[in-house]
Amino acid sequence: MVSKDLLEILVCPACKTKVELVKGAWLVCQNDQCRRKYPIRDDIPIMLIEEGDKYIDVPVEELGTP
Amino acid sequence: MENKATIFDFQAEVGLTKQLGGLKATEELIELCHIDKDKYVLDVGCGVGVTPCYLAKRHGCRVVGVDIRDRMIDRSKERANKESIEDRVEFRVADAQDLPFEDDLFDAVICESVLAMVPDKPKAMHEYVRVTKPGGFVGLNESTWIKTPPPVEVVEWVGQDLSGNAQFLSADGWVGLLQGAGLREIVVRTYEIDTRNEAREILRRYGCRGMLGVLGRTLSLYARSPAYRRFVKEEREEGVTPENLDEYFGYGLYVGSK
Repeated sequence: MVSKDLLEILVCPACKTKVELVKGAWLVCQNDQCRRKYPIRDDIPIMLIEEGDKYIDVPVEELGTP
Repeated sequence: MENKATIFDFQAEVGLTKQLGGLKATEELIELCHIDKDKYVLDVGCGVGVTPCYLAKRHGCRVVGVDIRDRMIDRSKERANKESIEDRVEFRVADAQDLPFEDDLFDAVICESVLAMVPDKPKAMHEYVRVTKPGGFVGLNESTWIKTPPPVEVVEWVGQDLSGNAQFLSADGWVGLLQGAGLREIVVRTYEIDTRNEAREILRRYGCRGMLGVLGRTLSLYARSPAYRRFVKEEREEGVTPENLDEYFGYGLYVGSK
């Protein structure tokens, strides 16, 4: 489980915009121009730009289990 | 992990990372960064989580550890669970050059034997400073050329197990990075390597039981991983330690205030 406190201080490593927890398993950048999505695997957020790049074109509603 | 495995992959598997100066150097860095129980600390390149757990347990502060390898973060979380300090330490997979934290967040950012391996050092330093609160501290423990220029054989020897990815600097070089990132009141302490002390400090850092675990995992890795056996064989063939190593190669603590 990702702690709420730490979630609040996390930003997108690429554009530094806040991220939002989606489906309990993704951290989605709130910048419409960026659209990177970072997976949470085994309770560990993978906040790497190259990881976020992989899901830029995946709509939020289509995000599955990371 | 059979492809392009590096020493860091092996370290994550066996659960052992180290920096020159051991726990004594970590304690000195903590002191220089004015870290106590009320502080919020980021450890960049936390490896298997020894320093974040030590900070949380010994100093009672809240700590976030990041490492670029998810296997290292797995090990860090295991350590935090074992030491029952999950409520005070958090771990994330992140790149030192692109930290996923908001500005002015941490009282101190520490980084032990990591920046030498980071390709864009000025960018990483600017990230460390960005996430540090005004008045907070950034502290490095980095391998250092204590006498320059180092001879070719010494350069080759110290870089041998790092796959040529490390770039060590002189004390002036490290200080220049801190200054370039806007840090002030810079404190520098450089040290020669004391080989006997290094072994003792590793034991202090991990404890006897911890070292037995490392040994068991190392033997298991050797038995099941052809890549690790190749790595060990190549290490053996690299030859003996240059006699003048201590004259040129050491480490330094570099701390600046934002």
